[in-house]
Amino acid sequence: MEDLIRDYENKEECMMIVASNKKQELRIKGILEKSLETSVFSSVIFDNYNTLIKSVVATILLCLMFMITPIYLIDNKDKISYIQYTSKIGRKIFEKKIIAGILASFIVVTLQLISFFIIYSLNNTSMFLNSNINSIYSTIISWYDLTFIQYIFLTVVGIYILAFVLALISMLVSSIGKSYITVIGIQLPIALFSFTIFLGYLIHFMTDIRYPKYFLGLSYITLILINTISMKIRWKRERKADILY
Amino acid sequence: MLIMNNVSKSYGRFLVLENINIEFTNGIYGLLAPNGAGKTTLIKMLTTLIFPNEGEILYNGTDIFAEGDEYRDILGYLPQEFGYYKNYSPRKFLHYISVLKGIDRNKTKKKIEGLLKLVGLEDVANKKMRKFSGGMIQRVGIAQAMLNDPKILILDEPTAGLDPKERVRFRNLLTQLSRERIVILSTHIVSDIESIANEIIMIKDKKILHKDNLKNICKILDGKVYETKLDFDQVLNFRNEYFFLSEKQEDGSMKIKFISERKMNL
Repeated sequence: MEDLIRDYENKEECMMIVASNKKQELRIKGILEKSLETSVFSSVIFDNYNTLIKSVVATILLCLMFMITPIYLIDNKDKISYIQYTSKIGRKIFEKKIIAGILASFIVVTLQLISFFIIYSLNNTSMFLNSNINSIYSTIISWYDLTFIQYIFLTVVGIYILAFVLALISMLVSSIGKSYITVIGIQLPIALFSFTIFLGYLIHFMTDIRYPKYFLGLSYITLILINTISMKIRWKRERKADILY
Repeated sequence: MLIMNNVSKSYGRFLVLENINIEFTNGIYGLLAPNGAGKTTLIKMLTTLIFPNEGEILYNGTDIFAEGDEYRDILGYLPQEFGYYKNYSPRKFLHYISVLKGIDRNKTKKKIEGLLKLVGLEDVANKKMRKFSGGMIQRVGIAQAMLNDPKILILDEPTAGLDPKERVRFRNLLTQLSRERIVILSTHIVSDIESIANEIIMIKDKKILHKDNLKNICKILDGKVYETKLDFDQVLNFRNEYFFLSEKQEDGSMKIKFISERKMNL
């Protein structure tokens, strides 16, 4: 208790420990000027949410990888694509599968998030939903004046983007791979990268001033662009490719 | 009318087919060639699975690749290696293919039932294909190829895995179907096409060797087929000199049917 009081009395000093450059200092000063640090929000709530959501995202991404990976692989491996590509739908089936994959990912993510938030609502944290997360007792100092509910909303948006990105990566791998062994060989490092880098930097402590202000937005835009462009190139090639499996 | 105009296909530097010119009208065409001669490549080009490096393929005057789904709408194809979902039943699989073929949902059920009966699979229509024999799978393949009542039916080694009774039934079926459509049948088994094909197309050395009816093709060999009896130790040398059509052990010697360009008195 004494520690809490001491921290509050020396709030500027306490918050400035995090700042290592001018921009971070300015942001902290801005928070102090607006008295956002007086928010009742605490690290217990924030850390609890972050730990839980991190596990949920890991489960979602793993589910998607297992679900989406066979989408092209089965048909190519079992030579069903011969029948598909010579029927009226033809090579457009490649594009239709992308849409199906994205839709399936949306459904899986939504169902898992609904289940998670139903359980999370039993945590009785609703009284903090409208509190600003830049509290002196919080573990995050954000670049933005976000309330807890806004932060939750931001993580949900991030989860959907990561899910679609990973679904597209899985589809790309599935369309290139010739066997399950090859695909697993490619997917394994992707999974490890996703669970460390994606979760660590793009979901956990979103908008924290430890990272540059535009890091989060630019990372998501880059991920979306790289994946969309790669898939477009793959689709263009598929339209003109000889089918020789 | 389906026309292949000066079509050539190569994979890298390896030339598979060169300057192929063929015209298909309604009827059965037997594509006869040894394994690896380019039958499947030719068929894959006709089914838009691979693109020719040179030349064009026209259906009623329009390039088949430009026509796209309109061409594929009148196409039925049974690949050499027919792929299917092992956990699907024939009925479910045919429903799936009918969706890909864009067949009217109201007509699908009746059409599938009719085809299952036609290929003799109505008793196992709801059984998973996982446990089916090669012949049964091939019959599912034939059924799916005919699902959209195609004007061009292309079958790559369709009788593989069928028993003699099924082969006869299949041949009769093809004869009926060929009245109002182009049927292209690829095989290396002569007996599959000799009785039903209107024309036989033979491929050799990347080119069309013959495209004619069976009678005229047989005329080419008129006076060139001989039969003789040899001792076993003479066979090896004789084989190096002549092309054997058949050989059979008979009364302690070998009875050999062979082709010779030279006139022989045996």
